[in-house]
Amino acid sequence: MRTALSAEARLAGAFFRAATLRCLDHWVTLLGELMYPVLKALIMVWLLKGIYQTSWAGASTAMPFGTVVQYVGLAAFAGAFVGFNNAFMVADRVKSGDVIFDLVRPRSWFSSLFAEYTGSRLAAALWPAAAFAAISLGLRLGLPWQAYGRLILLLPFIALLEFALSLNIGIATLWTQNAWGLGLAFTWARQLLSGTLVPLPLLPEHLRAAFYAGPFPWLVDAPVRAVLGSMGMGQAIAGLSAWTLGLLVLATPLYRLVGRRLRINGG
Amino acid sequence: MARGLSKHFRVKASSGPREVVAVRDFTLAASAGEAIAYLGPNGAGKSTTVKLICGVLSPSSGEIQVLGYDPWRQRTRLAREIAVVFGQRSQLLWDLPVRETFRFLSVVYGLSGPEYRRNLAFAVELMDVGDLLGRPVRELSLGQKSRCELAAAVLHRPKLLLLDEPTIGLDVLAKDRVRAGLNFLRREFGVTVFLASHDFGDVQAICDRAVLIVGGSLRYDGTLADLVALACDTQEIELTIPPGSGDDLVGNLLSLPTVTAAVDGDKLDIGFDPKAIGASDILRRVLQRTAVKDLHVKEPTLEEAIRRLYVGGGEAGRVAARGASGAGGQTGAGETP
Repeated sequence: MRTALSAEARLAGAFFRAATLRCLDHWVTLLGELMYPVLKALIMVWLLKGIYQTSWAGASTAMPFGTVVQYVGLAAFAGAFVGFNNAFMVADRVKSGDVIFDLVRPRSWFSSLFAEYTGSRLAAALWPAAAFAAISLGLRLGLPWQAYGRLILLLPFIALLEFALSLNIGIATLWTQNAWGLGLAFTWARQLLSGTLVPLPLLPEHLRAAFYAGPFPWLVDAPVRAVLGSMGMGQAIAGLSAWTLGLLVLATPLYRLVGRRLRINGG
Repeated sequence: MARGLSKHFRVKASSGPREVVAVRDFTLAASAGEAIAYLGPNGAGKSTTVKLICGVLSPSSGEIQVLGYDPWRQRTRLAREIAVVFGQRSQLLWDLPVRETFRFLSVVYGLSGPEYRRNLAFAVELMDVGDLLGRPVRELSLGQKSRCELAAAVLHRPKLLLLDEPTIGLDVLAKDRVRAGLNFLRREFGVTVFLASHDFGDVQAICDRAVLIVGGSLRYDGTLADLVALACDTQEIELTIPPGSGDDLVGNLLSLPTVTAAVDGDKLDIGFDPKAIGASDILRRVLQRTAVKDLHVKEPTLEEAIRRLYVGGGEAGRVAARGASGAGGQTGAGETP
């Protein structure tokens, strides 16, 4: 067990190194990685500010503006942290046939993908962290220090759920030839339903409840609300864990079912 | 070892889903240190067989064992002992220096520090890629990349190398380097080489046994020399003779068993089955009637033999079916997906 974990950690380290070096390879890549979450969050805040100051001026809203800014800042961080689309990468490899290199290596596909996810995610987390720092300072999020502790505690759970989700999508791409479409659908579903694009507390209650029938709000909305104190940490961790476990349990039979259907064209 | 191995795919078509047979009833046994050329036209099922051997695809029926493992069920254990190189795909990390791919693969294969350094030195020397280690993969030429791919493949010292068009697009010198490297691995370390290729230069330089697959079915399994002899059952001689002396000679030669002859100016082309009549008998007959200024024996080439077998008709097809020794022989309707 210890050997397996150490091998997994070493492989994740190798992916971390490769992803970091790739990011540092050119200043445009670096700028893109760093600026995308910052710009997205700033635009969101600016738009919301406009909406608040015009349409909803004086009206009773679900969240005070300061909380919305905190939500958007945290959602930008969480969204950028989970935004790395492992499913897209896997789908791309399945479509091009390069997934064969995943499958001729002496590791189970799950373990290989997990190490890739963890390593690449840690490397990419450097930039959302920088974005979060910029937003915290620039927009004066005013979060209490305990909130940062809660955020750090929740990050591994968020990452695990994101991995479990993208693993199932990745496996499904072994079957369908429309791997790109599946990856896109997954990205949009996550953007719309998780709270990355629009804070879910601003939506009508019944819509929010409908979103919570799926796993996506647990990626961003639930952890952000837990950090802000409007959801209990226990409830957030339980929800995240339950969905992760369910999706991981689903992955094994799904792989057995579709693994035999894999087609890789040509040499 | 494969016995009765088949792989079917279900594909969508406008008329509804249909089943495509990529490999059918494939039987093959190989021993350690052998170099086997795996030949066949495009879409014959070569790549699919390679993927079945390394456990990426599951067989639809039949049995397969590679180095004592069931590839589909014991894929990860088998993967430690084998390496696969695809000429049209790359496992090198595109934006990073070549060294980074080697470092990455050493972690994937769980090599210890000293083991990695030793194997790296070996692979680098084998494929002569020492100067390329610090260069990003995207800056390499095709030949340099191919050498790096092969060096990466042998980093964990596999016992079986599966190569699918490893020298595609390479110049003569680059091919020579790759061929020399593969022969060294075979000779010095008993590495078994399974080479799927359309490059007959590669095949002749590396392999001594050939397996031919057409339409998913095995059509020939034997030595390269026998393959040529079996497929090319006629030999040709081209003679330069005094102008005007050929017409009578042609009529005379045609009376000999299996001989064909045609004259064009001062050139006389003679074809014959060496099993039915010797070249010396024919030459004796010619020299009795005319002088010969020049003589050229056209040796049947592997390429010509393969061409005849791909077409599959006539004597070549029947002979090839016999060469496959009961492993099928009929042309399948399959295609490689």
